[in-house]
Amino acid sequence: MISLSPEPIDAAALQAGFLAGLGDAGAAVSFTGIVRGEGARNVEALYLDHAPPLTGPAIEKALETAAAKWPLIKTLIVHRIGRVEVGAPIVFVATAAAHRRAAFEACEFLMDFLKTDAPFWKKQICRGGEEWIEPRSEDYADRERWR
Amino acid sequence: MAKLVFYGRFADFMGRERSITIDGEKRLDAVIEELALANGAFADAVKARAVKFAINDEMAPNAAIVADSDEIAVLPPFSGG
Repeated sequence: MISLSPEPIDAAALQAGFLAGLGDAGAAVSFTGIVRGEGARNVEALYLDHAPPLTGPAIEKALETAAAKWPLIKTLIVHRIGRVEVGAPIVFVATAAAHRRAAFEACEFLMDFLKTDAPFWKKQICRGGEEWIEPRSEDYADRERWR
Repeated sequence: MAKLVFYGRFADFMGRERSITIDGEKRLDAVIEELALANGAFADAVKARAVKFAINDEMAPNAAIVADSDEIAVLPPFSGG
């Protein structure tokens, strides 16, 4: 399941919902991404732009790729759009499978995809101004692990 | 009229949407080059990074052919999560 929403992410509630009704799963992994303050940069929030006709379908495709690579029983991606304050969750990804390796790897794969290959754009809103930010070289290197 | 839709940093320079006339068929990169000629900040931002495009909601290569009925999305490098 995918959800793109301007509403706050309640990771605990999402986790509880995800864990209910997992069928034959023996492993569930979840990741929560949180907006960092970046210390001296005094970040107040991130602003997330997305392309409605492109973003959902691109994530669907990544979920299909994950399902083809690993025997997944259930997946969930919840991603914020709009303004997200420092300290608030920006993304929640959960995966479930019969065994832990598939659940761990699929969760990492989906996060690496979201960082560099999903049509989102992040603007850092700092006390002194605003700046669009792009993935770090580490983010691209992480993505390459799955090719 | 063709519709151009700009996302991320490009929307700061160009606004979210613009309409342009495309006579006949043109390569996508030629359309963007013409647009850049008229807007220095957009030209600099396009030159500095790997830009992606979508035509009518499908990702498309720079060399794709566009016509006056198309909707073209101009996408800076993706950055989610």
